[in-house]
Amino acid sequence: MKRNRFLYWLGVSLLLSLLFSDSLLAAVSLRKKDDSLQLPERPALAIKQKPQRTAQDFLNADTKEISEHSFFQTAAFIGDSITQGLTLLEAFDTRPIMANLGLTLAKAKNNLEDWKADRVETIFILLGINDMTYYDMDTETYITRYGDLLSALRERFPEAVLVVQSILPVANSYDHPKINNEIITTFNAALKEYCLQHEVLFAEICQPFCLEDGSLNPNFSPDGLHLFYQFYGAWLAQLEYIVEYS
Amino acid sequence: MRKATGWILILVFALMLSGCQQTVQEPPTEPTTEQNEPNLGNLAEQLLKVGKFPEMLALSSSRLSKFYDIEASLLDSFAIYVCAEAIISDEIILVRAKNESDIKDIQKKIGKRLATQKESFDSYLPAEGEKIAQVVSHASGRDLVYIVCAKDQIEPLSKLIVQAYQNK
Repeated sequence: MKRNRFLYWLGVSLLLSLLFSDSLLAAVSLRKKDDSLQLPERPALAIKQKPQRTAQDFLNADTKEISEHSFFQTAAFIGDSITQGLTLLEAFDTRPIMANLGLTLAKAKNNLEDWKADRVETIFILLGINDMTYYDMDTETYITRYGDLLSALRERFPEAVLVVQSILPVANSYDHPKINNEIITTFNAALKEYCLQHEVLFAEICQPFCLEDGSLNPNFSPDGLHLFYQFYGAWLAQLEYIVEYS
Repeated sequence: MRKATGWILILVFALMLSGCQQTVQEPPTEPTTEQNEPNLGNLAEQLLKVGKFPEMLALSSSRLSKFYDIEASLLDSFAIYVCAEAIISDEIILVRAKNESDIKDIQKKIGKRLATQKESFDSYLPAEGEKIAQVVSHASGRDLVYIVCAKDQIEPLSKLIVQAYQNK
């Protein structure tokens, strides 16, 4: 009799424990479910996803269309003959562009005082090739002069983003006693290093215009040194991309 | 009564047709072109066709002050093209002043632009500066013509300009 009662209570307790364990598990899982429901929604990522762009994507850019982007409405440019080509773009008529054929780093620095440039948020600089032409310049002097210009710009435009562009390589057919791609590569490497150390944005702009050996594709240039006007869109598209996703 | 209605309808149709014809026969764009003045737009097109020019960009009236310091309101018509490549000095300047009295001032401003361009090219690409020094120029009444082009283009383009002003 006692045995039967024992077995009876054993069965009851087993049943209860099973029931409890199930309901407990269910409660826990429900709780878990509730917790997950109560979690706040994941906020949108603040960092812009950098879309991939190929050289061809840049080359497809329409010069007129891209020059009208709002991004360039607060941009200013300093450069030589390549940059001077930007003055032909109607959308840039109101933009400050300090550009002359043969402009050097030292001349650009001297011109700064008289340069009319307001509402400038980004300053793009493309200089250096004429410094090679006019002077027997070593890398150290080149970087010192570039540094002088950047310091002067920082002083005048403390809030602006300074973007130093790599010197465009020349075509293999380009013949000049002082300019060749070996020197350009050396100068660009030193310039990139300087920019990294001084928190200046360095923009490599060669990619869409260059052949596999790193030289300028002669199909994109009237003389092996400059860019055809029709490829200015590709250049501007790169600048916008580099700054927007830096 | 029926006859009268018919005549009225014929009259109305005739008036409508003559109205349409008048719209079609409106004079072409250049409003005050005189008999001895060629159409500048057409002349520029001919120059571009005959001469061997690189890619050229037409300037709109809103850009005249930037490039030449000339107020568009002073001009009756114009056709101006600059080279799309910053390293080439080619330029076609055809302007017609509203008043002949403004010609000297306009001439001065174009001269200033060409002098600045020459100075800029001389130290960088002297051959391009030389092209500016040999600019083809022509003045006739209230018209001014300047063409900066390659040396071998000077003769055919000069002939074309002389012809354009003789024929008119």
